Amino acid sequence: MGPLGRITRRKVLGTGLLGGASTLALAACGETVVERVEVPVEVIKEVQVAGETVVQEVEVVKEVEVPGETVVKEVEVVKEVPVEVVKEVEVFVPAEAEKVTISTSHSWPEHRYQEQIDFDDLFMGRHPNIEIDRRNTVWAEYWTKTFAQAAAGTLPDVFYNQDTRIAAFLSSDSYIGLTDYMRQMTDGYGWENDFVDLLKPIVTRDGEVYAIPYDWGGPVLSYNKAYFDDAGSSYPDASWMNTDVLEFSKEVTVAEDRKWGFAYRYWGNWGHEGIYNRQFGGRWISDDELEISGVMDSAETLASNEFWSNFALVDKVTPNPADEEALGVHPMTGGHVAMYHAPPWQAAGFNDNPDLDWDIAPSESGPEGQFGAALGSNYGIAKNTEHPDAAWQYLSEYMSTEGMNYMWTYQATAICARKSAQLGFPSAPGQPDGVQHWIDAVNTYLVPGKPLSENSNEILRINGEIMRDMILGATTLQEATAQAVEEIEPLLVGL
Amino acid sequence: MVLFWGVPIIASFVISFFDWKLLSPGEFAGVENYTKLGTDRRFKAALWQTIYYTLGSVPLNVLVALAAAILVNQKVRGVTLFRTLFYLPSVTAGVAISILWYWMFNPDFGLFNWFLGLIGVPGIGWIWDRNWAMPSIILMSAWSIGANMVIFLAGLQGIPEHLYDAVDVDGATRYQRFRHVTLPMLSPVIFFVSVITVVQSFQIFTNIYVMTRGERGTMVLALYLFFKGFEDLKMGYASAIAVILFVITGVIALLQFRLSGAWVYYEEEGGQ
Repeated sequence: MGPLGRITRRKVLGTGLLGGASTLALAACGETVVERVEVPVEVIKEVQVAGETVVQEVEVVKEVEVPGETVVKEVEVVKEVPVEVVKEVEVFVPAEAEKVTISTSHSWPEHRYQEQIDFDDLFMGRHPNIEIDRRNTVWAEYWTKTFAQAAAGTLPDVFYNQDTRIAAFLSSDSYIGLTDYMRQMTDGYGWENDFVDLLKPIVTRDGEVYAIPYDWGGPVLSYNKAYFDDAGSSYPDASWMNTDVLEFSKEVTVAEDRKWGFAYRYWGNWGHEGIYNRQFGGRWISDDELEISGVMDSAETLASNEFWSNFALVDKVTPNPADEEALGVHPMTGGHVAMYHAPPWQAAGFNDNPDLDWDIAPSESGPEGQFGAALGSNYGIAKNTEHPDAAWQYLSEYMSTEGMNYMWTYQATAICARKSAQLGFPSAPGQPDGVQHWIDAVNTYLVPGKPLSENSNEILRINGEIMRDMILGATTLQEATAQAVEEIEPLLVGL
Repeated sequence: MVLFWGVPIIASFVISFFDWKLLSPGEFAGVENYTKLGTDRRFKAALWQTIYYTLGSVPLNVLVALAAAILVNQKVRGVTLFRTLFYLPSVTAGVAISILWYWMFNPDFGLFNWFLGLIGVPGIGWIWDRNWAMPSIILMSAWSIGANMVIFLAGLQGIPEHLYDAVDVDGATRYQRFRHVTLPMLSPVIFFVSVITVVQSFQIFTNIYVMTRGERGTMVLALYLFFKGFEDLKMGYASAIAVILFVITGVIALLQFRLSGAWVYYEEEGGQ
């Protein structure tokens, strides 16, 4: 059985058929047809097909007999349902001789790449006329390569992007608009209702959707149970404050044994504000991303940065960036730290170490409450594509509920951007007992990472270098802050 | 040559006068990119780090390459094997060498700290310690001496044997043979090697990109240029850095040529 064979309708609540459109398309090989759109089972209704109008649906709701109960009711409900106008869209239906190749680019870690290969093989099996020319590039090189491709007008037909980077591509007109295509995407609950609202502005400009978000989430407090068991302490819970994180870290740190209480990984990057500043009421840059002076150097932000940087500089309960790099393994995976802010996509890495007994808790709170940072990623179609319909065929199946389930949810690597693809996340193999905390976090206290504006790549690089130097003791907090304000301010262009 | 060297050099010079953000069409900006460089503290820091690297790596590289050349110029068994071993790093990919050294520098289980431990010296943070990062990179530069060693070897073998015979008749010691025959006769080669090593040191990129990505005080000009161009997407600015780098390298090479008259001996000219 192929990997996608593991995805059954039973596993997927309320979805249309993966590749429903493509099945129809292939049946009419060589022609342009009007697609029949399948809709969620919760709202079963007829849809307009080639101009035919349906005005209502009948939904029968039955209360079935429950053993032990004496009354059995049967209710029939007739509902008027407004009919969605479905725009006729030309679906790509290549003839035998018109075999096309579309290029795709990803940045999968090695251990996740096989699923991508399997997905593509299955796609090509369903679409013999579409060949996938797939490229995978390690994260550190992906952006250099993709920016260069964008500049040269040689972007892959379908390519990966991330929230903090997409603005530069959007402002340079690197994508084709997807809004018309998106009308076909009605599995799950469609674009309007199925995708996390917070992510839509990131991929939308002037009402046009340019990329489809696929994941969304951020770190919560993960912990290595062994440290707590050895210390005879109870595990972190919703009552934990950031001072509790510090105190426990002091208790268990033995730096010479390469064991620390806590690890940074979001210091100076997209998660810095949400994770470290917000719980003190601070910001890194303003929410409209136009100001840093008076924001990063505000009393609240300085207080938060001082509190967290003291973990490394004063209390020395965390490996500094240099220590971490020298470990040669992720500090949490290697069992080198008791606590760490862990996002869902790192669960698989933790599970690689069979000796690591870990779980997650709600993130700690600060004086101003509980916060964290979240980020998402997406895929879109390049402006330079010569086969937009074939690219959309691929993208629509990749970003379908079943596609997301297969690529992310069932692999326990991400909370998907589609609500209909989130349902299997808690029961995916390898999830920690506290998996629900990740879901609760995105629904309650996580805020979008920063920056999301056009110069985010440069801003993140500069801030990262400055803040890491500060953690290494090369500069003081005040010096680092002043330097960051001075260098980043000219780069802020707003959202 | 014109296609792969001349065109990019000219294009880079032209682009340096544009505000070109890679993904958008460029706009003519005059000398703005150059004036910005004057106030760019990161550029100044990168320039200083490059000079620091050059001052450390060039003498080290030249001395080690010369020493290696003298060693492999001896008539001993297996000398061909030694020559091959010394030359091998020069034909190995820079990334592979960098990764090898990355692990040898590891403070926890790297080869260097293991050796230091054997003689009771506490381990060093090497490339992960801000104070040691650049010295570590400089130390690593001594690894790739193969090309210079071959040039020195050719130079050594080109020294006429009768000169050594003459000083032997005068009862010269090994040091005197080296000081008064080898060094003067080799000075044009030392000069040539010094010039190309200085030029190469100003272009150091791969080792630092792989091992530190320019952090912890190792940001050099070529790396800064790369980040400005391909991460920050400021191609005009990056091109201006490239032009400045070209000018600096050219001026230093010119200076070396000017100063060479004082110490380089050209046999056919009867000495200078």
